[in-house]
Amino acid sequence: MATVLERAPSLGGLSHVARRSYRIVADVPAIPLLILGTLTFVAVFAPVIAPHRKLTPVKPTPAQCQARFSMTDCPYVDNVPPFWMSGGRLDTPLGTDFLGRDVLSRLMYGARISLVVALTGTLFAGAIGTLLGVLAGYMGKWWDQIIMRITDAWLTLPSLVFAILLSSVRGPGVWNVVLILALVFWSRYSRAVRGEVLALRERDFVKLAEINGISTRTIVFRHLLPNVMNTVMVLFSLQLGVAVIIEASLSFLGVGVPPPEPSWGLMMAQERESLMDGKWWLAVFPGIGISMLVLSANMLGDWLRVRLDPQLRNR
Amino acid sequence: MDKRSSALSALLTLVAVWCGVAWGQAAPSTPKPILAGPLAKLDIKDAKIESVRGISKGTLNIGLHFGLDPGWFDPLGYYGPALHFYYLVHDALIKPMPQGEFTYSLAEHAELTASFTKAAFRLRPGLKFQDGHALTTADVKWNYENYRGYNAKLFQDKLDRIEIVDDRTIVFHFKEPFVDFLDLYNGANSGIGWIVPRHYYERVGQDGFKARPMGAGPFKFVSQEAGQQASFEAWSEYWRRPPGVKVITVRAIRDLAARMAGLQTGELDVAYGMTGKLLQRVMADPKLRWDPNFTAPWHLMFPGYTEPSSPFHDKRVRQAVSLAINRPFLVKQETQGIGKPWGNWISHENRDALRGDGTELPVPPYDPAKAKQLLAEAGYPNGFDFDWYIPFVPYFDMAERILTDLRAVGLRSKMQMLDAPAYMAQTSKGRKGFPGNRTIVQRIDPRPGGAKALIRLYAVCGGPASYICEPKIEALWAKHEASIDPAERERVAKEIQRVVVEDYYLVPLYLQPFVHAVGPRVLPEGEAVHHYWDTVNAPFPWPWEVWQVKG
Repeated sequence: MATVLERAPSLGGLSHVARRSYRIVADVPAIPLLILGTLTFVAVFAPVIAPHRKLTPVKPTPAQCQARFSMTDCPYVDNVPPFWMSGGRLDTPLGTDFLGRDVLSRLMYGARISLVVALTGTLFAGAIGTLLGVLAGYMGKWWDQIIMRITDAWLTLPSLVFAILLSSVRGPGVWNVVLILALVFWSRYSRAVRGEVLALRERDFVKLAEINGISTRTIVFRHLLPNVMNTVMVLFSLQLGVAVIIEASLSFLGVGVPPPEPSWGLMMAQERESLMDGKWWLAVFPGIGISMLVLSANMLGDWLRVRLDPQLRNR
Repeated sequence: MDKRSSALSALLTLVAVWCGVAWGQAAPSTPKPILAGPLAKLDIKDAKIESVRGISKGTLNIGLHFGLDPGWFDPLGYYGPALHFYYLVHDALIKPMPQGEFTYSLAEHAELTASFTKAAFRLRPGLKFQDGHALTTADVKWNYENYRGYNAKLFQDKLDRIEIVDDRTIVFHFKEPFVDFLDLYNGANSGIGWIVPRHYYERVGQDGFKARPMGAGPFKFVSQEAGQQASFEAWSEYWRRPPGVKVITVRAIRDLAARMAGLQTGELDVAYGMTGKLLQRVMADPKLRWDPNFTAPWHLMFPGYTEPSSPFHDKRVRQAVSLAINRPFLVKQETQGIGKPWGNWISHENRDALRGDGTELPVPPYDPAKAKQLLAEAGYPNGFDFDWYIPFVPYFDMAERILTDLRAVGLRSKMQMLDAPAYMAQTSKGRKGFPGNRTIVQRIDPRPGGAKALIRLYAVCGGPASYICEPKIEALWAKHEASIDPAERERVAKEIQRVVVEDYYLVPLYLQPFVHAVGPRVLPEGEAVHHYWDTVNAPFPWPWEVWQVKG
């Protein structure tokens, strides 16, 4: 009897866990996750799955050379349309660019750069901003004054203009863009985290830790940081989309990722003229990539915000 | 005196006056000499003065292919593509015009002694600046003394003293023969001959002058948005003629598609640099006219190649760079085949330049296999990465084509896209403008004049924008500078060009058609519009006062 009584809650617990898991899974934004997952997969495995190399023109056939340049041999054939259009080919399914490079392959490698830059940039921004926010919120006094005044000043800077300014100082380059993103976005984290910590530091578990003589460092890293991670994660996912757009904008303006590396923003910038010349596919595909990535990151961020906020979650 | 004799004397007077006028027209009086002693023979063309003072009307909108730098309004600090703006706001004593490479402008007469130790100018009578202040030899002297742009040191080092004879006559006395004086004083190769108003410059200062320039040119400066746009208004009292158009606006539009759209919508009347992806469209558009406007050859430079740690220190590597580039295909892609693969870095339209079309210098071949072999011999069997490829603004597509060619033989790099003011400022410093020694810079320098001005600028140690410093060239240059024999100087200048090309200190690419497209509002109608490009080897279609648009 006792055994039965002991088992009953366990089964109930299991089914509760299952029901809860099902609710979460059913609630998960499947499409954004699928898109992000696919893009991440493509970005990680681009060197393996890309049909062609990112910087080398696709070797044309003599027939292509003849048709395009009236030559039997040519280094490349530019602006081949996607496979479903007249003149398109299956081995370059999304066509070739002005240098005869495969657009699909460059999109895959471009995803790699866009994701790596946006993820690492946002991550660095999050790390800097969170640490400063916790310090300002918990230490108070002049720590708070100094950090928050700098944060306030930073927040007034228009992000794209500031990013362009930093970029012109640092020069173009993938890691410089990462640094710029970190420098531009940390203030958003510090402002939000500081508010959260101001409330947390008055809670009993923090007060008890202080009474027990726990070091400030331990309180910050063991008690405060884990409790602000919800906020940080939501901010992170929302900032990810913004970072993708900033990276694309910087590259579009010629101060981001330097050519010939493929970045989606750069690919769009390089093909502005082609768009005017009716070769829409060259600028549209990277544009679709940017839209999908930003939209997915924003939807995921929204979902996380709702999931991690008890008031919104139970509404 | 009876009636008959009065009538006869009146008739004789009339005939005498008529003869006098006719004689004056047929044989203008020889200008009164300024200098004594034997003089050098100068070939300076007379200015074409329009006797009928027309009315300026309409607006000419120009789409410049790169950002504007206010520094380009100040001739005293001359560098870069400033001539475009000098011809608008300022005027020079002599300058390149459609009439000839040397054409009288503010000066009506010039002399140079046969020993090249004295030069003299006589200004036109009644010259004034746009604010009505008289332009005199005091301004000319002050400009010489305060010039700080290209070749400023040379001008100062050579000068002994300046003698102002009167308000219109000035004599420069040199310490030693200054054979190239006229070449360098001519408007194309320095800003020293472009006369800015001393009274105004001193009042507003250098920065004030850049912000609001004023001169004696055909157009008055009206306003500018730094880097973006500048506008100018016709100055009806310009000595040569009133400008044909009332207003000229110059807008910086780096994006080729935007320039094309501007032409098609009528927002622009002239757009520069139309080669590249949309050239075919320009050629096919029945509403547009275009001029090939051949300027100078593109070439590659290797800042810091003299340092042993630079991979470009090895001649074989520089040769490999040259061999890796498929010039005929590049020309086909970038210029629809109208460019010409070229074997010299100086245009054949420059005096004393060697032709790079195979007649005097060979067209560089395309041989990637040999390029790889040379790289292997130089110790780079797998090629190498270099820091940057820095293209001329805004020819970024062309640069990426070249980078692709280089990559094919193992020379890998990324492109640094600078805006024009930064690019021009850096390249105008020569080697000093580029840190490190693993960079390739793509350059072009179209300007009228002699080849030696470009040699002096880029190819000799201590040149204002020097990228080359070689004992062999220095020895030749010393010989050039020591000689006052024109034939010997020409021979030496050509020899230097040959050394530069054969040792791959500079790698020429192709003769650039700097295609300009013109919209339907520009007069005259039809192909007669090409007369705007009559000044030999001028990158931009000056003089601006002759432009006309539909009102």
